[in-house]
Amino acid sequence: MRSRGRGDAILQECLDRLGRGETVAQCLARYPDEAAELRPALEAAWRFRQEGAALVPDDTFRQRTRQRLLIAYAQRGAHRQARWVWLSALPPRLVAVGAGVLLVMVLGLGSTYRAAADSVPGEQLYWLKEKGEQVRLTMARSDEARAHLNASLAEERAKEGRALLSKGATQELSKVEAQFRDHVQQTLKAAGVQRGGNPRSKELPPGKAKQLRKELSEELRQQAQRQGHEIQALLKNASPDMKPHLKRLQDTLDEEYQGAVQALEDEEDTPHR
Amino acid sequence: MEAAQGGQAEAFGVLYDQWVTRVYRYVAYRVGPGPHAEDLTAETFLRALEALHSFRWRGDGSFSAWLFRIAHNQVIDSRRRQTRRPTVPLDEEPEMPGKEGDFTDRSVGGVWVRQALAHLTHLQQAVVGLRFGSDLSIEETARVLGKSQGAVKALQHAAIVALRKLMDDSEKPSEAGSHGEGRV
Repeated sequence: MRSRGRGDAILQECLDRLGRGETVAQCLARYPDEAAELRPALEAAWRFRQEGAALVPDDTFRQRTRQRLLIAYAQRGAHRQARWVWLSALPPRLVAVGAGVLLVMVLGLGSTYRAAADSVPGEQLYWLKEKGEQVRLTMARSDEARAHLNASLAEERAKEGRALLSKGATQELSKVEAQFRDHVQQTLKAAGVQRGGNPRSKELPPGKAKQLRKELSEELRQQAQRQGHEIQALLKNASPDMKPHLKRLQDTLDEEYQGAVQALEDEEDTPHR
Repeated sequence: MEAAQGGQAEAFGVLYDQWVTRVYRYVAYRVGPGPHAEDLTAETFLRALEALHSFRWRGDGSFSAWLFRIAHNQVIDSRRRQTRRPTVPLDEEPEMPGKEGDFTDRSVGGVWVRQALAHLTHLQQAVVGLRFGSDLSIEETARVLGKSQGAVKALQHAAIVALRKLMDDSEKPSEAGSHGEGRV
């Protein structure tokens, strides 16, 4: 009696040979010593395989399904999904490690950027905040977007001014005020308005321009109100040496906001050339 | 396969042509030949198309293992659906009116195959179907079924023993009549 392992191995080999078209007799001839033991199993497998060979799908089904698949292929746009085939071809472990590194980077950059967004001039991460704003300004593709973005950045400078004074830091205030003025001017410029009521040559369509000026006017008016309230609140508890700085900031904001709102509203009343 | 993944519809058509008979044969071994096997075969290829982008080449046999895994899952789902409603056991199933070209019409011995399979466990049926019906290797069969190669060999051995016994029984004329399942 042969060992079970060897018997299985020979059986396996013979089954593979049957799969490649060899007959039972040919297979058994290779292993005369095991022939008696192998014959029943091989005959059963052979019969099963032979009779199963009759299982063939009919041509109508084959053609119908082929057509259906090709239509489904076209509809699903499988080629578009295949854009990421290169990624799926990478070893899964590499993909997992890469995804992890990317996630850490994104989370790390995300938290860094959030910290930078709260920074004020003179702090370490402020440069990142400035770069981020420059990118946003560069990316703004329309005058409307640029106008609204400059308006929101103007308010950001106003907040920074308050934040600096609430910390007792006055060194950077002038810089912040200058930037505030610049953003207000850029807001007006993008809206086709300049102090003195001289519209830019490149104007928005009249309906759109009117709507934009109205929105900006309202936006700047609300900013003035919010910042005024905040500065008044700070003034109540401010130390005597901080109060002049806060009042100066208040004056700067008032002057710029009022001037800008006035310019926007004047433009509303000026017939377009 | 890369061409099919890359957007060439005809490449997927060629893959279909190459594999449809073997997939159909495996499904037919499991559920019986006919419209139901055709439906499951078509569904297998549709699922393969949907999942085409997720296929990763991992050496020889990886595509066949992937494709037959889908077919195998189709068979299992089909069985699950059938167990939710009253069924007639396979060997007591009434004869369905055969259509021209059906397995049972073409091969008298095919009836023996169906009767033989009914005596095997589902896993043995799967191994026999993949190995002898679709000519998959032990390794490919193991990958389809999520088993070790040793387990597949053991299942195959048990299935062959059971089939051999059925063959012996059917070849004994006096006993065949008494069992009512002699060779047709």
